[in-house]
Amino acid sequence: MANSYEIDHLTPSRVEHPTSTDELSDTLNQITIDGLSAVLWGGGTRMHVGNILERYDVAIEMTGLNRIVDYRPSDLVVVVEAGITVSTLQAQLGKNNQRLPFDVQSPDIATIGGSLASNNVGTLRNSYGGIRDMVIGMSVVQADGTMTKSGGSVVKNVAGYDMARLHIGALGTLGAISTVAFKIGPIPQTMRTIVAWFDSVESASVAGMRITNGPFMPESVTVIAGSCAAEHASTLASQNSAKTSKNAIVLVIVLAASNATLKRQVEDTTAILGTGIADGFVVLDGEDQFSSWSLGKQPDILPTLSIRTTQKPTAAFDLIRSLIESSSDQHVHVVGQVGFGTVEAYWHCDISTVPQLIESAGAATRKAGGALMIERCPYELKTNLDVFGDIGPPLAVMRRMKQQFDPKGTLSPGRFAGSI
Amino acid sequence: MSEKSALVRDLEKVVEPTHVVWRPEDLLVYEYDGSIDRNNPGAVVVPSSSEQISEIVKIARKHKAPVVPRGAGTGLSGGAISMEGAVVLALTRLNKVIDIDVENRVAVVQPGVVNLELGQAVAPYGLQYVPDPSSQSACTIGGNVGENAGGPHCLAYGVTTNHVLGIEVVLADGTVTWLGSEAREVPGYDLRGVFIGSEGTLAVVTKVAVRLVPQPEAIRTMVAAFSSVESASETVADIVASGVIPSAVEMIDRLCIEAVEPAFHPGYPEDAQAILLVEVDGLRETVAEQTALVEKLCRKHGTTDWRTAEDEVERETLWASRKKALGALGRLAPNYYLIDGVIPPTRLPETMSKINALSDELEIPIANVLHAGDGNLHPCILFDSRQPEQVEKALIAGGRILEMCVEVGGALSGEHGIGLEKQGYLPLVFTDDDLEAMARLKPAFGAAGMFNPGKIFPTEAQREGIPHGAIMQRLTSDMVI
Repeated sequence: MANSYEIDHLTPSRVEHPTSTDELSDTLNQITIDGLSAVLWGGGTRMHVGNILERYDVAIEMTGLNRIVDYRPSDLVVVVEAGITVSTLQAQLGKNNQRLPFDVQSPDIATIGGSLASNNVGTLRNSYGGIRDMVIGMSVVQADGTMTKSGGSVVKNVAGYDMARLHIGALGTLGAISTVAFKIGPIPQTMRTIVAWFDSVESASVAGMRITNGPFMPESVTVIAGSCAAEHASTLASQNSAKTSKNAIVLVIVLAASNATLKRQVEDTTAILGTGIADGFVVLDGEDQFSSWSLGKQPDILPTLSIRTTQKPTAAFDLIRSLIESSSDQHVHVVGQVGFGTVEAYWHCDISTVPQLIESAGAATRKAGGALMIERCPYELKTNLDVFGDIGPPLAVMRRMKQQFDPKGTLSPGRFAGSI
Repeated sequence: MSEKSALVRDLEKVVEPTHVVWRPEDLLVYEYDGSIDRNNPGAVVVPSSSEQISEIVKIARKHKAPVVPRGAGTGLSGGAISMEGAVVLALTRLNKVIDIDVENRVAVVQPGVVNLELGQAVAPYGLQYVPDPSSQSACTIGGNVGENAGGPHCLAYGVTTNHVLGIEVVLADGTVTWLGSEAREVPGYDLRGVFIGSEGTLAVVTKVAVRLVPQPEAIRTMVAAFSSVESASETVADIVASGVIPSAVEMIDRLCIEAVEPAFHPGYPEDAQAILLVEVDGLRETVAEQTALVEKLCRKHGTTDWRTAEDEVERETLWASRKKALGALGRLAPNYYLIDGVIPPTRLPETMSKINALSDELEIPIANVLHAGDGNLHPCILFDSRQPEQVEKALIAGGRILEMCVEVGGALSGEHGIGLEKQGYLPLVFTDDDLEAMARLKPAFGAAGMFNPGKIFPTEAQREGIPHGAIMQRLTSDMVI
């Protein structure tokens, strides 16, 4: 996948490999002068996100920009080039017992720039916010090659417009992120994972909301529904002589703190789960935690259809119930970040059922007061829809934004909302 | 005898005539904000709904009059001062808390709601709104959005942009729309994100959806006295580097102590050269651990007096002495010029020494009160605005401090914004290309020249190296009475 640079059956006529911001600038400048179009390619893990490109002449491989530009552990600041992988950065920070509180699906491949551009989701957003909340400065190469920056490398800065925000989630349609400054934090002393399973979405909702609205915010609280969740619950239930149901819903609660604080967090959380609301739960330590963490990720086999929605936390549970009900005959895996309100759903299904699934998911999301984005769907259907859904009046502002920053449509033309 | 302009007559068709201010003597009330600058608006209109604001924006556009949104006018960088005869849109009547969704921890408020009153409205539910600018008893949520306001407790929890989920705005063509929503994210470009901190230059805020968080189970407020600013600064750098992130780490220096002690009686030791106010919160266990660590680091750097607030009353007194320190400075000089630079926390010791040296060199007193934990300096340059040479000296000192911040890799503003005050200094940090890219946001929002003109971006004269010439001109025209 990573080396073909193919997106939605389109392949570029050439691939550029800049290794510095200057080279990236020269490359983009020439592409714009030539009237060509370019796609910025990081780890290639999220290239399926977005509408079908109008044109695709050049792929710009960003992994050559992979340096740590500045790292000041005592100021809790790191500045990196966009092409560095998430795991390389985390490994460097880890040497000082620090981290970027951000987790992605494939950290060995996913780049920082790509994670920002595609606003990648991690379970840590529950307690630390999205990746956008950690960015304190950014350098961007404009479509015409002009190098610009905003923010800086101190944790508090309101000088000038907060331009970095514009590029986070923009899928590289407004400029090429070249370096990023992050606020970082310490790695927690210890971790525990509590896995609980429930016989209904309602029970999981009551427990999940009570935990996230308690006196501390766990590292993450992930709700998982679908057949994988039920299987996982079944395995844990049999190991622990607990009951479970056919359609079990699972909550994975990760707690991370100092030893004394963690003990209290485990006590409080298990007290909530022990009231009979859950069919059962286990407290995991060390490597035993890993299998439950992977349950909250995208399935290994690429899904036929995947969506991502965000709504208020309580509404997220209503949505999950609807998704499960409307997918009765289809294999679905639903993952929600409880405190954040994000729900992702992955279906392995027959293509013919996809339109109906999209329609019912859209209706359920509207009812939940949320917004839905289709992240992956069959090519045949993608040609006829806007995967961003209805953006409303702000779309006019977004169109003008594209016109201002990329008037020739060099950067991933057609890929963004409204085929911007 | 002045007469109503056609613009004023049109505005009076949208709101009651009593809510349109146009006589020159009445407009004087709106000529200033919390900064040292001032200028007269063309007119002031005080609407009570999004719909009225939409109509007002359309009228202003028809008359080619720019619009300046204004909250409580507590801003410290001249953001609410009207330039080019603009119409000031005073949002203070939009002061309702519309909805508090306790379970989802979201509140929707009108922009004129006072920051502290939002806190009071959500407190009965065990919730709080974190950003707490020192002016929180007066400043409004709309103004906080415009400036991306901070406050002492933003060290651990982030500034306004981290706590605002969505904003209803009126665009330059009168369209009323939401940027973001009551949920944590929406698809599309993050227009909410670029809007926050745009200082009223892109659109008018008419509603704000804010994120609330639970009140902490336990809070411990500590006071540590030091015999030098440098040792207090080294303590702060060590606390930050330790990885423990207190909810607040504040510092005030000798001159500031002299002002606040007689005003609030916080009981600071007489010989203290610097005081650290450190607060930790969270679970009882977390607070106990962090308190012990902070105490250890204070003692390592030779604190002369370390104590914790005994009760809520003492805690309130300590915070009053910090948050109302600026008001107390009136005991020392008729005016102060508050600077808002940011530096990396590890550079605090040397920078504080340089600021003291600058004070000696220019023979102008500088009192320091700072959000030390995030390196956000607030040197207060004390002067008498009736003495033009003191005004100029204060402006020069301010510029020199900002240059110091930039030299050590810092920023020109941590929470007060650029406004009129610092626009001349932006070229210290940003290239013409950087500024040109930022300027494109205005046409993208359809707002070119429509909202709060003359702010943020340097003027031609300033680009040529005269950062505060215009301010001097405005201030000295009638200042010596």
